Amino acid sequence: MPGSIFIFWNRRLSTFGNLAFAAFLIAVISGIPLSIVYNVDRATDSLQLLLLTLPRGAFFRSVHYWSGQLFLLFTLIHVIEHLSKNSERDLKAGLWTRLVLALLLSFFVMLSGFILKADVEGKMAQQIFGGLLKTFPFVGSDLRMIILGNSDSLNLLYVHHLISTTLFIGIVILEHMRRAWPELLSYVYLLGASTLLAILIPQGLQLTTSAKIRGPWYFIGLQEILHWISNPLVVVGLLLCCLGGFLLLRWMKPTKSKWTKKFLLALLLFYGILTVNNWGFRDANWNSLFF
Amino acid sequence: MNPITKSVLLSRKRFLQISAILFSAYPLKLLFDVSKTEPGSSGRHRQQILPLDLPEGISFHGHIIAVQKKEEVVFFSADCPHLGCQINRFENDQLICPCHGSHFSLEGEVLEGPATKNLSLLTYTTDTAKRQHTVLLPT
Repeated sequence: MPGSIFIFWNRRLSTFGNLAFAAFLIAVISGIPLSIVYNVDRATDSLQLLLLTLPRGAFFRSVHYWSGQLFLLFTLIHVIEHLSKNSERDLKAGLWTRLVLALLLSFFVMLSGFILKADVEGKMAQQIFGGLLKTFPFVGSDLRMIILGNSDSLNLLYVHHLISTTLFIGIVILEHMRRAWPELLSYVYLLGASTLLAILIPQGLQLTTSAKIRGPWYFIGLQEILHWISNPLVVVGLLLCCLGGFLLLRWMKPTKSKWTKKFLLALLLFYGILTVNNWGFRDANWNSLFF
Repeated sequence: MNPITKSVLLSRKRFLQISAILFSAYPLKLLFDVSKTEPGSSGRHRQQILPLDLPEGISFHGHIIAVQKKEEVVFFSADCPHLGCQINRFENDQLICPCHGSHFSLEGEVLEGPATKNLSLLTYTTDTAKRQHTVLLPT
């Protein structure tokens, strides 16, 4: 059934891989004008100034935001589509490994964008991310320093968001797609969708503290897991196990691979339920209607 | 070349792969060293000045929670001991973390997880002439 949905979509529209590539390109291009006005030492002030005085700049920021969200969304659908076809076996071992790393870095580049807005949500996300990195056994502090730096400054994260991770993801996409530009039709679709979303749902900043802070949509399930499991190291361990299982899919025997995929899909569905529970059914005191 | 020698020696491709990995370790070390000297790393606040006349009850001051009870004042770190979120909510005599929902009493004790440690009690000095408290923050 899901396979027929993918076939239906691919025949009538562009492939999810092409759409993700186009979204990535739009996110990169729309990020350039933002990087000019963004001041890493006064991040919130510079973004506020942009929102208040430069309507076109504010529009670019919203396009940057929405194209980023669509990039992640279409990438995830693209991954699910190809896992359902067992296409991971057709890829060379090195490329598969780089693609898995690029997927992980895609989440990082999205999260770094969320932190770089430096509003209340962004600062909390920085604290939590730093806290989680520090829980890694033996290398935690060093990992935190390499990714976030050793202070509250956003300088290093800005460099990773702008250059190191974006460059790596871009190169891996080029290697995977074997083409320098996305299909024109995908580009048109994504430009239209990002522009429309930017006009309909422009992105602001959360400057006042609210009773309940939510992370970005793709980490709300993780936020819920962190509420249930006291020890962050256990959460980090579980995430690493899932990532390890995902990475090893390419080398597994078909029956083992099939069951691992079913298990990962079940985890994904459970993650979705946790996300919905947190998003829709938790109040400010963290009481939930369900669990 | 006999089979034994072939299995012991590295192929040229394998040698280049290992060399590339070893060389990539150097930029990683360089990144680590550079991140240590990142600007702003020494600018972290170690203390915060608060007025002597604090409102009765709970008040939030960034990284500090002040609990004023008549003549006595106690300062707690507002950073949640779970993952460092800033606690900003007080309801039903409980302090609540906005990120993962830990609950704490007015004495800073954990009432409900995920946090397992109590809130850190902060040391402070009071200058009655300047009418201010100087609260020391953890590094």
